[in-house]
Amino acid sequence: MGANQQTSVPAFTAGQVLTAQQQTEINTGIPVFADSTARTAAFGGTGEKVLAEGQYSYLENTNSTEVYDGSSWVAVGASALTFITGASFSAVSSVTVDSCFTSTYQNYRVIFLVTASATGTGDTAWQYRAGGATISTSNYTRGLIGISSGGSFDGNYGAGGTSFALGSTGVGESNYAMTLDIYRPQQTTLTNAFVTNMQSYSSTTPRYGTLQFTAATAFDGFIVTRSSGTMTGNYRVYAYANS
Amino acid sequence: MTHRINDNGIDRDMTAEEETALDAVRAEMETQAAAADDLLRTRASARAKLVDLGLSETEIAALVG
Repeated sequence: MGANQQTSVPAFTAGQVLTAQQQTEINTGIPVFADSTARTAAFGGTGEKVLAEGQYSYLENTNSTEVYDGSSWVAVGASALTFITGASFSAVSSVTVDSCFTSTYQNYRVIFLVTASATGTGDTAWQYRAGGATISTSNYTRGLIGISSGGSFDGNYGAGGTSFALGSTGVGESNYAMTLDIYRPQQTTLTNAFVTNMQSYSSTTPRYGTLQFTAATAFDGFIVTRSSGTMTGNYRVYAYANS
Repeated sequence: MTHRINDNGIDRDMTAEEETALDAVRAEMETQAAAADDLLRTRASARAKLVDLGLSETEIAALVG
């Protein structure tokens, strides 16, 4: 129990002498509760305030500040993107991320960076995962547009692969950046994604385009693999708010 | 040499199964890269022949990009 936690939000009468505990609760400003159950119990009883629109609260179990809108408690300052997971990696051939796509959210954004000291020269492959297993069926179809260092366009299309090939990185590569917007990966349907990436090794520098997994499959994770050598960097997975 | 993997935030050595999967992905990517190289060579060859025929850069771009 935190020092600010309370179990009641008192209402006072004219001339009432306040206890030290009541003064402390008032000094807290936004009332602090152990969880939403304790919060519900703290309003409307004898000597307690009646819950009304505009009431704020802080919940210790979720570390969240919420406001009552007259019918329900809603998050304060909710973001359009919710951070799901992220990590750094060093001199690895592959990076796996499991249990990051759930039914809580519909669409996701993944940002994958190679930040220093890549070895070897190779392409970057993306595959989905489900239940801790990599999906290697021939359902990875991509259509990418690149712009060469000379300014011309370079189409890149591949159907029925066992992975998405998403751009080369060279020796010492420290500027590879990939962003994927993935639509409904956790639903049993065709999974589409839009990818952009930047690389400094190949003559084709920026690439962008669409990716489709062409079989109705639900995914909960992904793996990024380098076709040769190792990579060092980090990744972040975010979820788009549903509303 | 044992390959390394970042497994949900932890760098570690790959298992035998993971190394087998890595080899399979790398073989597939080599195939894709070879196909892309073939396409580029074919395009370069076509451009060279069109230049020999006297087509302008605009005309060549309209034909082969």
